[in-house]
Amino acid sequence: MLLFVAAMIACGRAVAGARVLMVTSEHGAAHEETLAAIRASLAPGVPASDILTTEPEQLGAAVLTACRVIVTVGTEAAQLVAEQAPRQPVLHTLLPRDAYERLPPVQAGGRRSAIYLDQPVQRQIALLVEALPEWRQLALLAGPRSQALAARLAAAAREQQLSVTVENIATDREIYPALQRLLAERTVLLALPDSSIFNSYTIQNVLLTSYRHRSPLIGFSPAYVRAGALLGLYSTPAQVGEQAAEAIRAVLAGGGLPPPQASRRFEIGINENVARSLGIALDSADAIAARMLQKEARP
Amino acid sequence: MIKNWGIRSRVMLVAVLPTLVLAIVLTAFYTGSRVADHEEAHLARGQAFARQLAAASEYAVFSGNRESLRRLAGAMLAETDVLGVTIIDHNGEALAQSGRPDAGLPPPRASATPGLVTAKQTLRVIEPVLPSTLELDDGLTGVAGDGPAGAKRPPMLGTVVVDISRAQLNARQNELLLTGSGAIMLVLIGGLALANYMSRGVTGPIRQIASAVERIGGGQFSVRLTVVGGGTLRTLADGVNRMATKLASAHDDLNRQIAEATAELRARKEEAERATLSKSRFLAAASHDLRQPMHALGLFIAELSQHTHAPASRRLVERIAASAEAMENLLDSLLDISKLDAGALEPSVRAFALQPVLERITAEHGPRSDARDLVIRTRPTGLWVDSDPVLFERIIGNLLSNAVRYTRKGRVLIACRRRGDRVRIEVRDNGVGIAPEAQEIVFQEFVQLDNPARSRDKGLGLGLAIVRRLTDLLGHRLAVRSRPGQGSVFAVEVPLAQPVDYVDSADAPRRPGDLLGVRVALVDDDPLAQSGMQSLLQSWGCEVIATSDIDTLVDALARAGGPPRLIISDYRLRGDANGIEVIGIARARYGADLPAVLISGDTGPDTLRCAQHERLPLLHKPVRPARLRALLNRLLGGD
Repeated sequence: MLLFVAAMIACGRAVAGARVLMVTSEHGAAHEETLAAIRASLAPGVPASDILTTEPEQLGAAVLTACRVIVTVGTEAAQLVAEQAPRQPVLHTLLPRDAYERLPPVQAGGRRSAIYLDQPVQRQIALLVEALPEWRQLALLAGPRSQALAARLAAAAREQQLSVTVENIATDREIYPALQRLLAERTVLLALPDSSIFNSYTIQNVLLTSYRHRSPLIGFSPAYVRAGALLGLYSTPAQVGEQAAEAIRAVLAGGGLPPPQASRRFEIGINENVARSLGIALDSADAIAARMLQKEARP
Repeated sequence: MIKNWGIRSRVMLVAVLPTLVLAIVLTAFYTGSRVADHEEAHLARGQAFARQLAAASEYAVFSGNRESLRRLAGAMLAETDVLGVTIIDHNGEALAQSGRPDAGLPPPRASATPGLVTAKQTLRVIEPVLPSTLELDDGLTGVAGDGPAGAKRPPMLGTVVVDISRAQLNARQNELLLTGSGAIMLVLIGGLALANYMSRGVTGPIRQIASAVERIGGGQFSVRLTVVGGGTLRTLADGVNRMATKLASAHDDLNRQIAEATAELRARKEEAERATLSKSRFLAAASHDLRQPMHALGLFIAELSQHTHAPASRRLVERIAASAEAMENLLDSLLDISKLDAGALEPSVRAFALQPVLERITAEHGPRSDARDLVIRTRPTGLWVDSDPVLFERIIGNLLSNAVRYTRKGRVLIACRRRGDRVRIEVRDNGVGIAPEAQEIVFQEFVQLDNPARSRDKGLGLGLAIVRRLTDLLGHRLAVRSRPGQGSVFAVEVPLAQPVDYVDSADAPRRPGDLLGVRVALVDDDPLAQSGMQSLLQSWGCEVIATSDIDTLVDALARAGGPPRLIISDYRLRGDANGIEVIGIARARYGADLPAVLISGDTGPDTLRCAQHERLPLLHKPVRPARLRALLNRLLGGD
């Protein structure tokens, strides 16, 4: 009883005095890691008592008005918070770019920004160029929702003098014939974050097909690398959390939110087994990442 | 039904039933469980085949690689019991097919629900081909908000249909059932054999007792049981043995008593027979010895009465003749009784008119009744009856003389009345009558009511006894109705006959004097009788050659010069000779048709039978001269 009362008092003071409100609806490893990274990065400037973590369902006017800045983690939390249309600046993290762009329009006086989950198109092409300089062919398999992204990727690739083949399909039933066409010659297959094409059920057969055609697949998460993709390009929750903390500090310091952008930092995952099986020699991930960062730093 | 079962069947039932029930229950349980195990294993195997094939064909179905699928399906056929394999894609199009799927089942469709279809001969396993899953959603893919695929049902790539033959399973099940049935049969046979063997121990002693009881029942009282076992069996065996002992002793006692009684009876009977025999012998001897002199006396009197006498002598001769006649009558009656008792009389039944017979009887008794104040009347009748006329005349004659004897004065009436197909002849008198208690004994021999002094003029007491015997012999009914002081009615019922045209030759008149000069050979060893007979015959004018045996007769005849016209012989002769032999020798010598007369003093049935056998007329001593003369006339008249 005493403990409960103490907890309530502590909670009440925290809510009243919290300057940072973190909202997440999910409790996956990535979300927890992100939350932990934000907290770690804000300390010691922002004490833990100033940071409140809550669920979207508990959002009330009192809670919203008390804080200085709102941080959402995950696509669902971002959507729910955007619907509340708070007056405080909102930073959305761990959501894809197209999800951010589909959020409800912001109210007058409202401010918001985001740190995208997906990597920028140029960075992906850069990975291709830096990691597999001898492979000049890029294959893209696009579903209805990822045609725009495929078009952007194709454009970026062509800028780098890569030849690009794109297959647009409507359903997952067409995957195999499309792959047959795409992989007719050795090429690099770049997976797109479109769950209608690339999902848990299709990925094995897609990987098998590409492997049969001696063509590597490049994924966009550590899971892809574990499943059998040759390379994976992604930002870790810690990297996202650090960048989010920077933005929060800026806001708390009276500044504005940075524009929406991808995570500046990223990691490259390499599946050595796949590389060996396909007979592809790769530099170390750090070396590749370094070359990519150098390239990005140049105007 | 069991109520009628023997011990053995009951024991067998008790021994076999529990074993059989247990065997059936256990066999059914174990066979059932084995069958279920086989079924389960078969099913599991089929499902394993299907899952294996589904997993193996995932990529081939995804990539539409029919060649690869065909190989996979073909390889699956190599497994035992697999009849046919069909792999269809998500549209229901058959990608590969091998073997021959059960035609009795519907062809597999895309929408077929995964699971099992069991037909009679086939087990069909339908297994979906599902993509293997790799976890991609680690929160960094950025697709979580787009409805991750993990929440959906995995898309079905296609369906694998495996048909597995149940033939081997069914065969195995049949084999199990057969084995089970065989086991039950074996248990049954074994149980029966064992029960049979064991029941022998139970039923053996009882059957032994049963067979012993049966033999005792059949009269073998010496049967004894050896006591086997104890308890009730021992009690039973002991009881049977005791019962047999008691029965045997009771049986022996009974036999002894019967034997004793029989022996006593036999002794009494023999005694009685001896007494009867000696009495008969005495009677026969007495009768014979009486007859000889009586015979001669009669002959002499007959001869004497043919002479002329002075009136005083005449009366004396007549009295002597009457006394002799009375005596002869008594002897005749005795002879009649003995003949009837010997069964030697053969009645010759024929139809005859009653009236002449009755008239003759009345006439015979007329003189006696005239002496007293007694009237004898006969009602005229035209009826005929069926009977032996001679014996019938004797019956009525005896009844009439009886009535006359016991009626001092008044009248005696003979009346005939028709009664249906019978004629009732009544002899009525108004004499002394008979008391009711005496009405039966009057028919016994030598019974004379109201004659304690046995007055000779009241007869011998044989009349009614003869009547009774004669009516019995002829089958006529005899009745008596009487009250003391009121008279008596004796009635005889005789069958009625239709009148026939018949003339009684016996009534034909004979001419006397035919015997003059007839040569008669006479053989008699009794000199008195011989001389009496000789005198009588000579008084009739016969030439008599009398001897005492055949040899002298032949000599005498030879001397007399010629064969006899007739031979008369006494039956019993000196030595072992008898009259029949004498007549035989004489007939052999003088011609087989030589008339012959046999005379005998014996009244026994043997003589009569011998005479009848030889067809010889027999006259008993004392011979009535009139009867002898009539016989001689008849014999010689036939010439």
